Amino acid sequence: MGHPEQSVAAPPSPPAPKERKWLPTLAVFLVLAVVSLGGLFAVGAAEESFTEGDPGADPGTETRPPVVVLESVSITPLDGWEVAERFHDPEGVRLTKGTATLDAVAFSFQGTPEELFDAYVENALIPQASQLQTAEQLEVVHLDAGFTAARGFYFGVFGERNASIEGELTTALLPGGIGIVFDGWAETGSYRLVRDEVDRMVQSLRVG
Amino acid sequence: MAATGLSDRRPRWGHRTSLFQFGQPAFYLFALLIGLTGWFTVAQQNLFREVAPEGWVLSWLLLLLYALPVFLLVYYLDLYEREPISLVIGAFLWGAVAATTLAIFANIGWGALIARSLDPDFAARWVPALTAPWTEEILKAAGVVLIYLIARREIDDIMDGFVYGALVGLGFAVIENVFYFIAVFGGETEGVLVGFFLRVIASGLYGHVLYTGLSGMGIAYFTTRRGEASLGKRLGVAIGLFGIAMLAHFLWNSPLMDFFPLPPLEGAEFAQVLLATAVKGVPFLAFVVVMVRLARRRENRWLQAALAGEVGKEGIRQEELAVLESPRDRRRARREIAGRAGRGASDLLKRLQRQQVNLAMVATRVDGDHPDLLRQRAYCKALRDALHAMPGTRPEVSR
Repeated sequence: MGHPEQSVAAPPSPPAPKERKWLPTLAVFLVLAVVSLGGLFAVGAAEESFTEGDPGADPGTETRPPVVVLESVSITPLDGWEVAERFHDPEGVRLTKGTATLDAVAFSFQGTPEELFDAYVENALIPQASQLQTAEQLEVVHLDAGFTAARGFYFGVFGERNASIEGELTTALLPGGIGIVFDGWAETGSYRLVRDEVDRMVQSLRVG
Repeated sequence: MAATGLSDRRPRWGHRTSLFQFGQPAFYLFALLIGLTGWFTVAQQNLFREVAPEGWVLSWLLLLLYALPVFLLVYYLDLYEREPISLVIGAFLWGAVAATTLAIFANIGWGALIARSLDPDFAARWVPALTAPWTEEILKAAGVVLIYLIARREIDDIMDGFVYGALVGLGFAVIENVFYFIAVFGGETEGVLVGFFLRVIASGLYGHVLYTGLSGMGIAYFTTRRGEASLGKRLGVAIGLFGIAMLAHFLWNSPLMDFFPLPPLEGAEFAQVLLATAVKGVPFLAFVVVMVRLARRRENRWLQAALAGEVGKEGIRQEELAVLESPRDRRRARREIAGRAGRGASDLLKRLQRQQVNLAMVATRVDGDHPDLLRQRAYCKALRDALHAMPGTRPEVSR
């Protein structure tokens, strides 16, 4: 159908108000940006102010020292990742950035990377989860340090808060019968935002 | 509003605008966000499919069973002017893709911020109620605003706002439910079925479709009542309806009035779930039903106003208008004629009724004896003549 037309007999219409196009669109954009990202920025700013006040905070990537997971086994954190906790049974370290976490733990293990993956799921994840779903097929990845690892996703509901978590496990066997597990996780939907960084930190594994 | 006022200000039913308005900046914002968040959504669904392939397929099959009838119900609620299909799909996509993805970031960020400032036990119970109701409702309502900015003429009454809002909400609910079935209920067949019972069978009447439908009504009221209501009143109604949607969402997510049995559910506890969801959802559902009925009544009055000048001309007769005003009477008339003259006659009557609704649309778009109006009147007459030429179709009054 065509555009509306006025008949000759019709009284003249008042001029149509000028349609604002850019201003309301810009307003919608700003609202979307503030609502969707404002909280994440606020959390990031709060953490930054916390670490700025910490004289022991690590400097940038290039100068950051490796973090020891187990004697002679280390990884290098990227910018923004901080050591939040150290584990002792098994030995390991927890790195966090905003709402994302990378747990790296090492312990004696005999078997394949796939068996290590299953053992970690069985002994570390399942006891904490009220629901857990793990990848049916594991990916084989080659670490820069020369090790072959198994990698797979998992989803679950964890803790008293019943938080819905998604994560990715990378498991490898090191010399001397040491198994190392990298467990990167975040609330469901947000892990992919840090997945590349977690992968790079996993690749930074150094032994000896 | 008085009937005279309605006839003075006619709806713009005759206009059809597609989603693809390249001259509107809002279209580019819409397309950009759908593109960016679409990539994220596809990646997320791929992940679900990899981790729980059977559960993922089952989730989508079950949700299709829910979403398709709801989609059609909402679409056909607008009795006289069905919205352009590209805009309708755009609204659904906004809810399914953009709003859900942005809500993930919003809920995680604001949730973490709120949780830090509260006692951990209190936060565990209240964070879902203190974040999702406002973040998700704003993100979904923004989709209705964008649809309006893209095709302003298509939202010409509050019923249109409900349709677009409800479809945004439906899209959101579908993707959110896939997420719940896989990530929260475990993705196994049993978990997906329990999730389907809890989130769709027991709760499907009360959730996002209604929340955003109500927000959409508020947006439509604000945008379509210029010149009829003061800015303050329009703003008040829009904010009020949006506030009610948020309040209903808050109540749903909060531990208040929580009569849900503790998992795992067994036997009669499934019935208790139905009761628990009804306690939280039925009052809001009743409110929305009343609002929709009021909006439909107004559209009905508009139909009368639009066709007032046409009755008695060749396009529509008084008795035909009386039937046209009620969907139930229209269906009854088609059933009766099918009984007397067969399916073909019923189909032809349906076509005549649809073209008479189109006559109302044309009449709202042009004045006087515009060629479009003359053509539409003649088309309706031709359909009526063809109908009456079929044996057994002529109404008794004409014998």
